[in-house]
Amino acid sequence: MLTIEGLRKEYGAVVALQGASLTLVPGTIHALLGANGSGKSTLVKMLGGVVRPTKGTIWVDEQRLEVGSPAHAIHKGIAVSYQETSLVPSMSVADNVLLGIEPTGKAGYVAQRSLRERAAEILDQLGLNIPPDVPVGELPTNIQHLLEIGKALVKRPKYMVLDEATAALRREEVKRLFSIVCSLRDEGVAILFVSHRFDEVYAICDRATVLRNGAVVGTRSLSNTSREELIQDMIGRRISLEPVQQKTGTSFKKQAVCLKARSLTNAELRGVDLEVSAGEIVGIGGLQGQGQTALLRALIGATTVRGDLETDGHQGLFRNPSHAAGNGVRFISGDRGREGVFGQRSIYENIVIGRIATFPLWKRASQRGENQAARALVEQLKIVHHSLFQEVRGLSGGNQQKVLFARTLASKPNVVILDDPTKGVDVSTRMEIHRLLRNLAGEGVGLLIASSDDEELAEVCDRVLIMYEGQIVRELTGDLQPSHITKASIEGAQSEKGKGAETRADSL
Amino acid sequence: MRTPFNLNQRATRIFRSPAMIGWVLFLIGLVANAIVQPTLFKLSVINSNLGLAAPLIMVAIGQTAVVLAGGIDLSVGSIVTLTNVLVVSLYSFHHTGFWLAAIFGVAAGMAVGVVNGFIISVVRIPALLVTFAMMSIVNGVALAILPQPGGQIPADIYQIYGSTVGGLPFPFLLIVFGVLLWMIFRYRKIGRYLIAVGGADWSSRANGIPVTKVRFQSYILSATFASLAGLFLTSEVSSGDPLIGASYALNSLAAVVLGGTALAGGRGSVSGSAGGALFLILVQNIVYFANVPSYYQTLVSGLIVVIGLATTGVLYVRSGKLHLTNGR
Repeated sequence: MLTIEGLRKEYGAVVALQGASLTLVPGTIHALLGANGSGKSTLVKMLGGVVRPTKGTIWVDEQRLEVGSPAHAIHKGIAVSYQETSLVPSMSVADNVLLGIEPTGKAGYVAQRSLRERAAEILDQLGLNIPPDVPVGELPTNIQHLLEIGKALVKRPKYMVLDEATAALRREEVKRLFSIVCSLRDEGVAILFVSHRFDEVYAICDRATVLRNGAVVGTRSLSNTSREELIQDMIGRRISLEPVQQKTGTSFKKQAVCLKARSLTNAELRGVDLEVSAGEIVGIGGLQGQGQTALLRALIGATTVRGDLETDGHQGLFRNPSHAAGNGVRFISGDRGREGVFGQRSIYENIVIGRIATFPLWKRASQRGENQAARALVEQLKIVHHSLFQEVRGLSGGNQQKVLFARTLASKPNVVILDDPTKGVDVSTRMEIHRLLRNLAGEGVGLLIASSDDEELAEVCDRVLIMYEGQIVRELTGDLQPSHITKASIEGAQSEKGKGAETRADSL
Repeated sequence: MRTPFNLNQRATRIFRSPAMIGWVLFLIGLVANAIVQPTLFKLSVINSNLGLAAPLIMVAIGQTAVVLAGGIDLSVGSIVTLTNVLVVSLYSFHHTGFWLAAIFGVAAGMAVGVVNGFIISVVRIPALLVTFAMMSIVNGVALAILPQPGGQIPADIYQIYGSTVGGLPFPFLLIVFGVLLWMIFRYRKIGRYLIAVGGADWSSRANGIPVTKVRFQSYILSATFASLAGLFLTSEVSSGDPLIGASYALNSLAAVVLGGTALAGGRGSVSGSAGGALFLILVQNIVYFANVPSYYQTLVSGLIVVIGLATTGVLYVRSGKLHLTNGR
């Protein structure tokens, strides 16, 4: 028996998990459900020992689990298959499968033969016909995810955690996984199955715990719980049980299209079409990791992609983000620290770089007028500061985000692409940023916003596209409600891949 | 199920392996050297070349361990110097026996590695800064121990280094010893974990690998090999010199990169680094025997090395290890 008691995790001021408790019973499969940001992954990582809880305990067979120690978790019989995988790309298949638990001989040498044999066993079990000495990084993603599961299997765990293990798998691979998981259950293993596919949850799970906003809503026995009840637990509000209506746009009058993408395809995208008109705010929603970030990056030329792109005065895909910026398409990353601000430089420099970045490299960056312009922007956006020349890293997250907006405004863009624009920002700044986005659209700029926050999408967008597995499966227009977006995201995950394409064809 | 692999796969794997680059460069260098220096394959010439190569290969092996784990060690040259001056001054001026002096010298070098490893892995200060600072400090200590070149070691040690044992050049045996010493680590858990930690440190942690310890130990390994290199070099030159190791830090890194090890960590091999080190030694020979005027020798050898490094880089991109953007 594995019992989680009052697990809590805070990242600075953000509470990712607020006192979650649940019990894994040997011989059962337990589902863990929740919308974006409900704390599923945090919980999983605590079980694996990768994340140290701020508070709370995990009991394994009446003994306290040493938190924050992956080695101890493995020792106690907990094996986790992580959503983002825990493979080393440069190492071979066999070495990866037994990473950390290599069999060793008397003199301390790793026993190559038995290592390869055990790896081959697991590959057999998973139905994988791959040579064990290929570097894992050269394999397709579905096989990498199967190997991640194989790594958990090879540990012969008493408690196995599968975090979105099926997300990257093909249908026949999922089937095989389920037969393995069910036979493990019959052998008395307790399995925690994290998924957003209800079909799968109902197919193999006995009970389900739902998380919402970092708290446990409840644990239900699945045999007497309907999907609608689960969805309501996840969303938290009573909403109509009919499918979300897909009205045709009345709230927004079509203007000239300023960004038009056709069949964008790469490893993460499977043929995305999309249009943004001048003055329109288009949102991209869906469950986390369905290709939203990949889409934004593809649009600005930051990743390799096939397809076609058309913007004001430019035809074809962008070579790189600088090419996009030169053509008036600006990107504000969701990773503020690494891809947004220059923390050690001044507010002034951070703003001016937006305008001068696309200048020829040797052009003299004249100071004249810049000062005033930057000051005006700082005033306009109400950035709290004591000097234009103070370091940006000293500002709060919200003010840093505003500096990024000022930078973008300074460049006079046609299209602005944003990834999670209010991540880690306080409520009042968030409202200000939303107002800013609206104003920007009012001036005729086309905006494309990806956000994991459905309230945000409902609040600022004219239109929301729901992504699932690299495709746009739904388009929502009209009177947008956060719960509708959440529901559409979850439902999007339930539709078959083929069906998803149909919905898209209908609604676009 | 469908597999994207075929039977030739093992062969292609060997040819595409990063170490290949180091050995191909070495062979090219060998041919070029043989052309300009017909006496290259005489035993005495082989002996002296290997004598030069042995310390560099040792340092390069240690450097590979650190680079595989995602770090860098700029202090290896100063460790070579430290061992050299300690052994010579202990033996010549303090009259300890040679072997006691040797043990002291190697232990002092390893101690430097312990300090490096602690500051980098536990205190978490970037390796580049720590080992660069350590290089200055240790060089300073070496100067304090032996301000001027001088001293000596027992004549028989020096003679063994230049001789053959059982028909094989003694320095060759030392290189074999170095490689065997490395294999002791390579085929234990630590050898794999160096690659794992350098390749993906989050994954390594999630798999229960003690990441801090592995990083720590990589610096001890590199210092150990560097101080053994210092011992070999001392046997070769048979005197002490407070500037003797200066070139080893960057030359060992060049050997590592020439041997196809990724500076970002997680990918590479010691065998490649050995090939790279031998190539560097041959380049010196080629330039000397091709009658390049002495003023231009460093220039020309530098150019050859740059071409070698560029080849490595291009092959890396070709093999898909680097991803470029849309590429137009």
